[in-house]
Amino acid sequence: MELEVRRVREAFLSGRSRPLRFRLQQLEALRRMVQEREKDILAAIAADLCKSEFNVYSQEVITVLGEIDFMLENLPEWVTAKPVKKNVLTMLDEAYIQPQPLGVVLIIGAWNYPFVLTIQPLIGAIAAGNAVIIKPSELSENTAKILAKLLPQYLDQDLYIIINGGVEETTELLKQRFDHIFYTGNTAVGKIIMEAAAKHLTPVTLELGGKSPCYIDKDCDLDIVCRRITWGKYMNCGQTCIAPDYILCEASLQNQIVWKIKETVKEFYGENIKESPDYERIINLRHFKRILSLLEGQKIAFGGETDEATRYIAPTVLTDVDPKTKVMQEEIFGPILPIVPVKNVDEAINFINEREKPLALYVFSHNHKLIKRMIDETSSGGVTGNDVIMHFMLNSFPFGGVGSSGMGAYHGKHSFDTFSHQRPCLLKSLKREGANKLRYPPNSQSKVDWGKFFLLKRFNKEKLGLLLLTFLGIVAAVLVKAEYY
Amino acid sequence: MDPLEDTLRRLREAFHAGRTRPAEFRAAQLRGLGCFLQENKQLLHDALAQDLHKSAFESEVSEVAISQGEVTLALRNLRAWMKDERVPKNLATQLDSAFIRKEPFGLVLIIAPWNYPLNLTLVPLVGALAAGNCVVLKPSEISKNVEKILAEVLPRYLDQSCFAVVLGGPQETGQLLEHRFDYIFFTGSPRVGKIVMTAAAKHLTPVTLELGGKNPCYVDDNCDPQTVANRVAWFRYFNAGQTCVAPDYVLCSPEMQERLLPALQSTITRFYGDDPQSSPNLGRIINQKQFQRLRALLGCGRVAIGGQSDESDRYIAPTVLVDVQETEPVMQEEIFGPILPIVNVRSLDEAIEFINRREKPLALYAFSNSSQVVKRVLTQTSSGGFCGNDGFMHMTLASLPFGGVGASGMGRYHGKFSFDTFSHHRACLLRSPGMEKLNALRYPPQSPRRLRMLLVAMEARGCSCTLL
Repeated sequence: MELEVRRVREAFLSGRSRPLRFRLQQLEALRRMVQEREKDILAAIAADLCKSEFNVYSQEVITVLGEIDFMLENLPEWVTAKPVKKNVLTMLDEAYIQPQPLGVVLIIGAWNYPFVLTIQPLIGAIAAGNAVIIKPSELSENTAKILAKLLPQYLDQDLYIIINGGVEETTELLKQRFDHIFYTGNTAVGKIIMEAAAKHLTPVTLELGGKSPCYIDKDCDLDIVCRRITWGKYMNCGQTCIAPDYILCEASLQNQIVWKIKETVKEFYGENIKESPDYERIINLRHFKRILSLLEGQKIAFGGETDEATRYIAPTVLTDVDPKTKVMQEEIFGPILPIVPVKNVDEAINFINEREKPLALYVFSHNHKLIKRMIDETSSGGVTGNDVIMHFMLNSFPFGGVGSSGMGAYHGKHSFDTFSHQRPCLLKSLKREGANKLRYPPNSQSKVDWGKFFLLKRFNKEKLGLLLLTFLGIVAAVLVKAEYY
Repeated sequence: MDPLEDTLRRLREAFHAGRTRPAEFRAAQLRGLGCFLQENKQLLHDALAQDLHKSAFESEVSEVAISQGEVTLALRNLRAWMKDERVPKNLATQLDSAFIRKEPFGLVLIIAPWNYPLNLTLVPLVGALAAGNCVVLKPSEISKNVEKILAEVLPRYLDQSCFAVVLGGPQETGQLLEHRFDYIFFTGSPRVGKIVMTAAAKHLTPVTLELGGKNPCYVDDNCDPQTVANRVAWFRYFNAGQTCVAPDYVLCSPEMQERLLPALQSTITRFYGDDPQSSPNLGRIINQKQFQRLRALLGCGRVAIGGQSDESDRYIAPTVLVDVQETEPVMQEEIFGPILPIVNVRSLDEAIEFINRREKPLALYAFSNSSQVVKRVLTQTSSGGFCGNDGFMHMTLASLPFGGVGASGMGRYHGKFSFDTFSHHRACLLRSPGMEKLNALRYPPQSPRRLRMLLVAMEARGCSCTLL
């Protein structure tokens, strides 16, 4: 393991990953890989999660290709130095921020969207000029294997490597020193990662999870609301970090919501959901059993059917859920949707604020003021109002958590920034040393006053211009006057 | 009942009640900070003189004025910084409202050091308050006199339901770190930085760590030695060398060293007189422990200039060491004192290689008439910040972020960067309930026809858009 990491570090130190052209080439190669080997990639993900071709495209491939294209288009601009506003003291100098690669980045992927959640950070790390070690999740075995097979065929084999393995290998890996660690997964492991990173003072980005609440107001079009929620909840069989985890609504709405979701499920997945190619399966037996245990003692409004042999759990809705029960204590990460009745939006806001800050928050209402209030009075990684999931899709948004749902963000330029060091640079000249006498000892009160002046006054071109104009005006007036005498 | 628990609970309740959110409240806190600085200037100057023998000039320029400048900048820009930031939309979100909301994290802990006890406490505090957080401040117990003012006088100027000062040494700080905060801002040594980050990991608390290292100062053969000596000496001996961004050691050729030494001597005499110990412009070492540590370093290499010390005064003369080996202690730890070792290199390549063999420093300096040389050092190394042909002037520009990389730290602040550091950037997408027909594309059941449509749409893209 140590040897592998050292090899990658040496590759980075050779400077190969820095030039813009190299980074663009690698990104283009990655794009080719996705297009040319799509069959293999689809097959792997399908084997892991029983996902249909369309779903792989729409949930994973589209985002990856979009991200690569976005980088290719914008990277040339992003790598350039950005000049900054100067003050009086630095008027004649060059002052700018220069992005630089960090070095060797470790990306630990997740199993629920095993392709995009590993490749999208990789795209950012490559774009920023780093070398990368990727540790795909061992739970999505087939995807891990295919990545290990394909990546070396398209990317530089010394700069970007895949290390596969389980908990033991990951623990060993975390003992090594990296320049940034990017982790997608759960809160408990997030803490372990940050603690390991602390030993080397390695900065981290942790994309974690939580229970993303979904508040449904009385004043909304319940048909549309339920369709959108159904789509977001049962996508990937509920195994989405930003899936609406549970619903908060007034008790009077429960029955309608149950009915409409039930109808929508039928529309989406047909009468025999098991046969639908668009409905996925639970990743493994351990999670299957975990999710099953959440149903104990609950009022199942519809759904609840399971089949252990295929790890199938039907889209399920629970009503009148008691907040103290197990299903409301952990992130569900499965196709079970509890409805917790609340009296009003005040109670909903309190309910949300009593809990850990979630990765996403959803609120459905025609009442714009209510939506604004929800946002103002709560906190979460991100928010989508009147829909679910969608804020993930806009890469001008930083995507990340807050509190126990994570730290740091990525997507688009935010990925580039996350994997770069934005280095402030000031370039002065050795001339005009005379001016520096003002700062050197021995000091005096006048020097103190001048010091304050230069530090506290802003360099304002307009004011200076105005001053100059005024001065010229006075000179002109004096000259004119002089003419007459 | 644990008084600390009470304090933290009180602050959290105030935060949840929303007290720190309105712009008026935050502006009032910032104005309070401004008043604190203006009304207690003499008190602060005296305290800084007692703690570090800081001259009025140094106190004004590097502590009071800098802090005041940040307060003013934050007041002027607060509302602009607080505004929701609109973001560019894609095809699918054209009709939606998409913005980034800057939210306070909640309860922020600021742990401050002793070398610039006012500046390095107040500047982060400005950011934390401007961003709408409640703050617990842990000033350094080592700069005792300033600590007293921060504990007893500062709170009078701020709303004490949202602000508290906690005092103590390493043990009390350790206890403090067991509690949960929503953000921790630490300035200090890398060793303690690791301890802080480890403690933060238990609660998944994000951190900014402003640490240190050995800041290299490359001096090219092509330069005027007197100018370089002036600049390097000023930044090295400022605050008796106790500056995280001070040039720590010089890298130059033996020939350059020959020209630099008399220039440095001339500068030091001009700055501090023939008897620097009697100069009011030279600081003192903060305490006995640091003094003893620095005095031991005087035995490394050979003393070319200075080398005197006085234990009763915690005075160390502005010193230059030569014939220094890389393995000696003076080249193994951050000096943080008025001692400047010169290490010889035979070429620019060797200097760059020397720098890159070591931990990434907080600052890096290169002196040369040739801008090519300066740029080469810049591009072939990494560091928190960089200044060509001068010392830490880059810190005076609030438009430049200030922070480390690698062992010298993570995160950044100053000016707007402070506000952003202490804010959670929350992505907000507000969709309209209408346009459901468009959404229908994303719903199951999917068909081969839909897949074809999707693929066609993807090919047709000129730029990147995610359609769904």
